[in-house]
Amino acid sequence: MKILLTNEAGCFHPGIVALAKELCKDHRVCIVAPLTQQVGSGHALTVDQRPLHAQQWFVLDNIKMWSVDGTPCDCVALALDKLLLDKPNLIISGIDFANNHGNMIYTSGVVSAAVEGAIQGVKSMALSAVITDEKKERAYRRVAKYVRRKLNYLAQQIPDYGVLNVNFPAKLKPKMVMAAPLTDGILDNEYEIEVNPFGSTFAWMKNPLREFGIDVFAQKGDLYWLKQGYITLTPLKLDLLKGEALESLQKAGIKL
Amino acid sequence: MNILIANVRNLEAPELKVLAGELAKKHTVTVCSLEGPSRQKGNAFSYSGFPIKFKQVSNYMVNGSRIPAYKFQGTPADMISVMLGNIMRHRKPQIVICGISNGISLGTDVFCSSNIGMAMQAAFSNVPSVAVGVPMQIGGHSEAELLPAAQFIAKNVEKFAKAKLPTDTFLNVTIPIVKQYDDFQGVGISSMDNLTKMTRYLEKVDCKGNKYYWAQLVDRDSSAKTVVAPTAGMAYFKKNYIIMAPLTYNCTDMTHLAEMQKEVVK
Repeated sequence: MKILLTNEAGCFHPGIVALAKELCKDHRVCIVAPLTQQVGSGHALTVDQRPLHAQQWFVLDNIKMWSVDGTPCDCVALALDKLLLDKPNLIISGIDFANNHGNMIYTSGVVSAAVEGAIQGVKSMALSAVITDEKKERAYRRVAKYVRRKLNYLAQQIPDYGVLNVNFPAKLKPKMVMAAPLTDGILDNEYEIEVNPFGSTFAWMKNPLREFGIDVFAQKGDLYWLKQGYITLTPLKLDLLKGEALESLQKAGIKL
Repeated sequence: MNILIANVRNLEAPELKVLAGELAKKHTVTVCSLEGPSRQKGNAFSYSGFPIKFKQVSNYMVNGSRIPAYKFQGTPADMISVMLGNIMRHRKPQIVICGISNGISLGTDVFCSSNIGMAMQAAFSNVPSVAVGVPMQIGGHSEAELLPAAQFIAKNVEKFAKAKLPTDTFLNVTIPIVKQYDDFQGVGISSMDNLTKMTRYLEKVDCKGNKYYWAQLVDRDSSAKTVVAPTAGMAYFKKNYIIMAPLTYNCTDMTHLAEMQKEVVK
């Protein structure tokens, strides 16, 4: 299989390197990833500010590697249009160092890169794990080995015209897998205002780690199962139309 | 009603001025806008470690009276998050109107649109929100061209706020450009179809012989797979109908999930 790898943490991040080293044992692997860390880039595309540059690196044996000075979505779009000679069969985005569940999929560059791949008509999945310990590379290698072993199963789970979002818990137990919906949590970001020595005002986020209430766990969404130690698989669709809302919108009586 | 108007171009843009002018006639309005390039930013978000710079503009005048205005440096979602999380924390707006955007978001364009990103961020905080867009014109539209669209929003803003939509839903309102208000033919509820844009690149070589790439958004070719089902929305839009689409941020593919769950049990 021809596999394109990308991520949001940069092309030299241990997550993507570990995954490439594992997958290149049975597949043709190519990395096109941002040059610098792009955390929280969402589906941002670099369109009218500046052009993009791509640089090829020869650091891993038999793996082609490009860095792009843009966002993860730029990387996927540029790779599919210009950098790759032939279209990949699969796009894998990750392995990210933190979980992307619930609403966070929209601010995550990792999931958005997979969405961009799906929009362009390639089967795509996003992988995220919780890697906090010191021995990072070993932890990533463990996840990468699991992905290599289960690649066919995971690829089968990708919905037509959609994306598969895979989250790995802090302690990987390979047999505990759960298909779960996204957790719907209401965000309440608090900010602190700071005035710098030049008199400019800045807002600093106070609660970067979003704490979810008990009601969120009651939904039995991806977050619930992750906390229980399961690997969660969430199929995402690209059509955001809410069918159930059509009727209530009609009743609202909006007219000219 | 307490309304927040958010725009991505700048505070002096006609898109913002005309909308604020119409809404401020009856309601309490606060405006915020980004500075600098902000096209196609989607839901990009600055996590802690990256503070968001903003400034209160003291003399922002609409209809001859002063209204609170803020300008931000950051992403569109940051702006909404700071407005709802700090500046308007204790007087939450009843509705957030995002726009009027110079460009409409069809099908999968909603993922990378800055305007939709702002509306979605407001929906995350459980505030009703509407993203308003008109067809794109290079250089932007004049205030006179945008006036009918602003009048439609001003006329229906209370209904938008009170429509009993599910909490994970926000509205994408696409308005055609017409000469006067009477030229609108009606209001339709539909998704816009699959005529989405694709990102393609123009390859060039600089004076040192290095390649560089300019992004361009081109129409999806007809042979490509369609991700979003086609609907009648676009046909009506071309006949000067206003099209409203309720969008959700909860994009789990429930039918596929049910199949997967059966398999996992096995």
